[in-house]
Amino acid sequence: MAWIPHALHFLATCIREPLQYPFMVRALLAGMIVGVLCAVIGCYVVLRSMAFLGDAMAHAILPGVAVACLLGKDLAYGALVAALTVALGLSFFTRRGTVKEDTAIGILFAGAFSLGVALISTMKSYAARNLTEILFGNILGVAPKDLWRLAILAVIVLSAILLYYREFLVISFDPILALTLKLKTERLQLLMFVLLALTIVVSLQTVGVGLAAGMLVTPGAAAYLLARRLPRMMAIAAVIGVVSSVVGAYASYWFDVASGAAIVLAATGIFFLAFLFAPGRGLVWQRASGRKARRA
Amino acid sequence: MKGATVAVPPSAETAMIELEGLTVRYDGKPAIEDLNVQIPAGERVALVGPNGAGKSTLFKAIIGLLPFQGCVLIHGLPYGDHQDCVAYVPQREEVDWRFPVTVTDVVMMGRYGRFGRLSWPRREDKDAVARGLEEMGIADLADRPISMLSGGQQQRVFLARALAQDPHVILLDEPFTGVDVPTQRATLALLERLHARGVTVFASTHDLDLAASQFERVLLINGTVIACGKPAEVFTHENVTRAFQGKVLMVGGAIVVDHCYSPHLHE
Repeated sequence: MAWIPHALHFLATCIREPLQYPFMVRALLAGMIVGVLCAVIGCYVVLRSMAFLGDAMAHAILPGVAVACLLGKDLAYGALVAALTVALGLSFFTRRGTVKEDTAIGILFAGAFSLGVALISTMKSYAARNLTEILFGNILGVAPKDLWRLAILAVIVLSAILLYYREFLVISFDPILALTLKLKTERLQLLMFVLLALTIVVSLQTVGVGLAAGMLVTPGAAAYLLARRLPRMMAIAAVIGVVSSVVGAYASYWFDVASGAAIVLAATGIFFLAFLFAPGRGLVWQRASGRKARRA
Repeated sequence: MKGATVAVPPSAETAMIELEGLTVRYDGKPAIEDLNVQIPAGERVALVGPNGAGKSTLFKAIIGLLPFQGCVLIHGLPYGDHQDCVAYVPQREEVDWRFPVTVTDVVMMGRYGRFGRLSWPRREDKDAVARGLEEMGIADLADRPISMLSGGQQQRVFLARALAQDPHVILLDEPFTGVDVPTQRATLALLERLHARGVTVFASTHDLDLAASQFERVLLINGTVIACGKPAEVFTHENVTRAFQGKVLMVGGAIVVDHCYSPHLHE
């Protein structure tokens, strides 16, 4: 067993070596912020079956990014404006009820995404280099001012989630009760959409528009299998989000994989572990207890 | 009963729920049309009618979930004008029972309208929750995730939550459907106690026998009011035939209704 200390030493080097570069430290910090934020609000996305909506919202931000790029402005502002527009538009459409909700989402967001791609494709030189970055993120390219922005947005969104915990819980679990309790259901709904939009803007940097839904849904889905109360579910999801981001950032550094893909793959791996081994709910567990029950 | 603190309405003579010219439309088609009725304070009223008569629609209009024309007055005031004095117990399928909350969490939701955003539940909120659980006989399930409850237990959780709301009016949508006999008995006992405290009880049911034996008043509807009054006055052959459109048999004084019959299939 003489190889064990060597292996550990090698692992430690692998972990420590990248940390001498400030860009890697920023990448890890950004990854952790995004991991926590996406995972926490993602719990509501999972519980309210809004996965499609989250994905669509992320895609619909693309035209905003493209316009900002054309105007030579900061891409994040374009994303922010687009995300807020999308959140407002969505709450308007879901209120009308003339088109089925998921159909409306599908139409609007496929259209918006196409508009974004069309705009970007006109920018010949810029397009090829930046499109993949916008679509799939680049965690190793986080600038110091990006990091500050991430941190501020994260604090805003997380405090809102904390402040409105009860309201969000009721409108998610039993909207009719929310109504009889005289909660302002529509406004709360809009607030949740806005928070979701802000979260997606934040996650743009690390996982991009194409994979934001992965960060929103996967940690929450895994945590759902492991927790029985919402606060615990959020905490577990946040841990999974952070671990996935860190693993992804290192994979991106050592193997030069697209960071967004690496992060989401890590989260997916954790989800499958939970799916198989979660106490009480995992596949393996259910098989085992089923066998025990048959024998008894 | 320990420490029940339900405010008895000022005068037993005031009509608690008044519906005037209530009309609710789905896609332009009226589900309820020009419904007029007064439900006196503190009475137990059974809402009966065939499938599609608009029973759930009526409840949802009263709590403001559906847009309607006409007038809904509670305590003589339009619905929007008072605190959460109306508790609504929905059918169990209305919520997702796999949601990661415990029985206590759900019952505490009944108190959310009472304490401020940044405050923790107060002593009285915790007491109200404990009382609700106790009264429905589910105190031992307090910390259980709701995904592990049976149908009857789910129903009791909803009733406990409604109790925690300290309502003046309680609306129950099909509380006797699809629950076990103990839960049905517990529900009836609860309605009895609520009645004793002066709470107005308004429950829809398919069970005409229960409606006749356990309620002071029956409201028979089919899109609009067919009859309203004491069970013996309402359950006449003529009224029941009108409401259920021919799918009624009188067997030696008993009324037999075929609930599988849908008038739309025969149009």
